[in-house]
Amino acid sequence: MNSASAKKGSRGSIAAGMAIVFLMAGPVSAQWAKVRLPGTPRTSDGAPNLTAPAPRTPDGRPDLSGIWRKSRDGTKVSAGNLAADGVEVPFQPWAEALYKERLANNGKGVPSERCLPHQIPKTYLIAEPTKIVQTPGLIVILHEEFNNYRQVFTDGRLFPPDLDRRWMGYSIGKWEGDTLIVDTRGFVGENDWLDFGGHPATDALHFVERYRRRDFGHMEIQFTVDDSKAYMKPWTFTVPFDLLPDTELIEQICDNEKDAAHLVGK
Amino acid sequence: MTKLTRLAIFVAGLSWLLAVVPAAAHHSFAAEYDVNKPLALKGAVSKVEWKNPHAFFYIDVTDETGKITNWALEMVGASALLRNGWKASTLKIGDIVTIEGSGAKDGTTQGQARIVVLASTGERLFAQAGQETQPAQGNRP
Repeated sequence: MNSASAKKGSRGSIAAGMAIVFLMAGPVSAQWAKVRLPGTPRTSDGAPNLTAPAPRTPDGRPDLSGIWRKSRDGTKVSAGNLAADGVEVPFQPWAEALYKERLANNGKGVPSERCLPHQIPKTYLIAEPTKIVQTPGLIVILHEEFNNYRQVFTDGRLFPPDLDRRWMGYSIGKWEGDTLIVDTRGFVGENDWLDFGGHPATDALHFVERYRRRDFGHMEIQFTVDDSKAYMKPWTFTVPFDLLPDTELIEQICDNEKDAAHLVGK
Repeated sequence: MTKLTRLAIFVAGLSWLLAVVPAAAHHSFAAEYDVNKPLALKGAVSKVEWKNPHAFFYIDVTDETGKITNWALEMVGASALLRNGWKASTLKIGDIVTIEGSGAKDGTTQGQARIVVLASTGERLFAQAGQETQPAQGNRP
């Protein structure tokens, strides 16, 4: 079968094949790196009990530690479009024009296409998972894609008076009941893309994230984009996450970038 | 199969296709590939690049005249493929495979592979992220 004949005769069969394949999909069951992690509550058959109560640290706080990935169900928010759940984005006029231009250009130009880091929140919305390691005074967030990381300081410090500009910003966290509130400032502010569609941001960006672990296997993060240069007022969206149990992060170095030469804009 | 049934299956397939064709892991899918350019190829594996952020493999496709064209096929990265059940050794040089995916917008002989079928075993390997919901794939020795 060559490409021409295949294309000519197989469009329908490909569609039918896709329908059959994906209709067969069931709940997540197969995963790489089966490691039986201690501290995981289990059902009588040994499977991770994902609806067990959320674990807590010795000081009584919820422990957010674990490997998380955006839920496939229950949200339309995606790495492609933060506003897909219907939130009205209160653009400043220039920001709306830039967003529309980026969309019209097929999203060509997003910094991650050149192996620069996915920024917040896109780094949470791609398929590659995120690992949270919660310690007293510091929460480390490891993003698998590009081996990227964040530090959230929970030791009571304030923002430094002069913030260096950073891809992931400078983050401080505090607890409000069972919710971790993370404030992040000090972003790069040039050519920022909050998603693949190209929602922009500036050096005025202040991100507020509210982490709430509902139970052992489920967490929500409410993201608020507060950037008065790009948006008329703060806007918020919430994303559900599922725990990936009994597995580990996998090294992910960007060492095979070949797409840039093929990207097509308008 | 009636025309109506075929249409229903095509629409169902297309909606699943759109649902599972997200922005690629590090770049916009829409900037590189065209979901309206379905790609179906059969050929012999000539090279495998087991890397991130995308693994690639290359196949030699022979047309009716005997002309051989080498195609580059992009998958998700090696880390996501591992979660799908792949190993670095799943595809070997010389393996005959059939792929389903999307063609490149720039018209080059490059495509995004979604499904790779091994001719020797009939195994269907899923080459995009989030497809580990399928039975374990690619566990060849």
